[in-house]
Amino acid sequence: MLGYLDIDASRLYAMPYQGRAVIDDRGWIAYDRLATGMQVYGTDGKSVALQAFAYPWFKASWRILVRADQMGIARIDEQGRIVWEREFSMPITALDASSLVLAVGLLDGALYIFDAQGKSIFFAPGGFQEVRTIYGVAVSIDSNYVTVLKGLSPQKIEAYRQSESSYVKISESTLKPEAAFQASMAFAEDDSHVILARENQLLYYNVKGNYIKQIELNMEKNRVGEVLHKGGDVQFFALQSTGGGTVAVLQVQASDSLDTSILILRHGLLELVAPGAVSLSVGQGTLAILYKDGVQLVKGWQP
Amino acid sequence: MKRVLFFCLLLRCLIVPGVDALDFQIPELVDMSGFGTLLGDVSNGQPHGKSLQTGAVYGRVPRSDLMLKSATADITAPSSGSVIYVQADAPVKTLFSFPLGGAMAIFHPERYVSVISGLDTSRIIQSAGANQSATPRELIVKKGDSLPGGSGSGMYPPNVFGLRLFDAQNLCWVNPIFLSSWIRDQTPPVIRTARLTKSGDAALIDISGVAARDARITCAQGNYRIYIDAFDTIVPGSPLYSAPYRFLALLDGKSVVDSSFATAKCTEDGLSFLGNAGSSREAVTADGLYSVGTIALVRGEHDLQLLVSDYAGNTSMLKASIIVR
Repeated sequence: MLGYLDIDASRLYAMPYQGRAVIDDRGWIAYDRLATGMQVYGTDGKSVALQAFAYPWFKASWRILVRADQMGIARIDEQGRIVWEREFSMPITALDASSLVLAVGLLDGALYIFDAQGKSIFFAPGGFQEVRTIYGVAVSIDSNYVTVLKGLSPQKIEAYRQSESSYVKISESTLKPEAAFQASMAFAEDDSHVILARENQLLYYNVKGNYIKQIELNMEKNRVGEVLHKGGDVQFFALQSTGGGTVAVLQVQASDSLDTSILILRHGLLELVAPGAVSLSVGQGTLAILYKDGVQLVKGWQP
Repeated sequence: MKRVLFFCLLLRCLIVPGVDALDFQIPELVDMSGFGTLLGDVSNGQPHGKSLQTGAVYGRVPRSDLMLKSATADITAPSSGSVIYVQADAPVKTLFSFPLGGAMAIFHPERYVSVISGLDTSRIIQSAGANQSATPRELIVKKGDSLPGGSGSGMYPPNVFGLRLFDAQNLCWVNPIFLSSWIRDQTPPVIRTARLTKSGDAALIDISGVAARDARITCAQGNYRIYIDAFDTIVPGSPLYSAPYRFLALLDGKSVVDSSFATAKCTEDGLSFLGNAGSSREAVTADGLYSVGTIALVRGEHDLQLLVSDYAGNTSMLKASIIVR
């Protein structure tokens, strides 16, 4: 099921869909795994073919094409026309955006932050004198903060704060155990913390306090504890803020990718579990939880 | 055969000297498409072969890796090193997956970094987890290890992988073709089109085909950019086409252009191929011709020879007589 909740227009877009697609309030793009066939749809269902060797990525009003070799991005408009593009000399390893800025992390540790016009407003150079790879990046919804998971020996979470028209590093915290895995990261709406997920690990990073703690979901003693950890290994993916101090996480059973749950964490503590859910969309007072075969609307959602 | 091997060794030593210090061997495979080949020539699991799409297509740029087709779902690790980055295909379609799919970056001695893509890294992670700990601190790949690919990952069809090699000392992506000693390529590249375009002028002078052989080309004095559409086949009988390796222009017997796909240099604007400025789009026209260099034509009569070689030294040539007024 493909779905998007447009609170401003009081609309829920949902349709059964088998392939790969990304969706926002202006329509959706269907694409194939081989990065060759891409079709851009408006909310009226009309479509145009997009000639590109890329995967589309949508977030916070950004429509981005990630080039098939993972070494370039292009911002596109509703019709799929390129607004601006940028090539990097290294593969992209991390990507996140707020409505105002787009952050891109690279294999060599370089970090770029672009504004909506494609102007680089922050750049931290990379290199291989030591391993500085960026494994994950998160931009706060208000664009005030950017955090990155970076490097090996030591591996660190670095926090940057917006300053005038750029960003400055405000803190860093060493992360153990280290791992070379790409991570997904999501800021809470109130900027208090970031949830970081990689493989079977879930971490809570308090931005202002600059500390990290491991989230142990299987230690939860509450009504939803039994749906977690049915046995075997799981993978976690940080999805997005669900308002206030809450963040949604996707849990996938490693042995069965059809066995999924959406978890909503409040400051790292389990708040809600939606077994069988694969994605969600959030607006003021409403959550749309997407399942393989339907949508559940949670009205009166108070994060 | 000896001449070809000698040429390979000579090119490897002269153009990519640092690579010699690296114990890196591309395993024997059933097919290969080379560094510099334009992205997007594999579709629906089947290679397109020798056909080019036309028009500006986002992402249609020279590739900085080799596309390798294995006989099995696995690929043999070309060298030993420490894994510094692992990404995996997302297990559900609602999550974004990066196009390289399952991929690993491996740090090698002599400050080389390789990236192998199209892997089933979830299996690698699971086996590493079983051997070490739940979250392995350090993953090591040994030369000859079998790396699983599964049923295709990211933009790669089943049994197809990407391999790129970065020289961190010289800040360039290296063409790893010279590290595959098993290839015996005796087929020269095919030149489909060659054009000259005068600086500041949109007019094209076609120097390929029947017209160029039968008639002299007349043009005005000035600097001309050379564009060549050519392809090569690395593995005999392969349906995959590759970029040629080297472009040489001789004007009245003297070398005036010598560019190659030995490396792609890192610039602030991306990658620089064939001596062009970054980004990589600068190296190719919208209709797929390589921009190989600039020549100055002064008044008089000139003989222009364009030589296009593959990595093994097999060469095709195009000649034109030019009268400059």
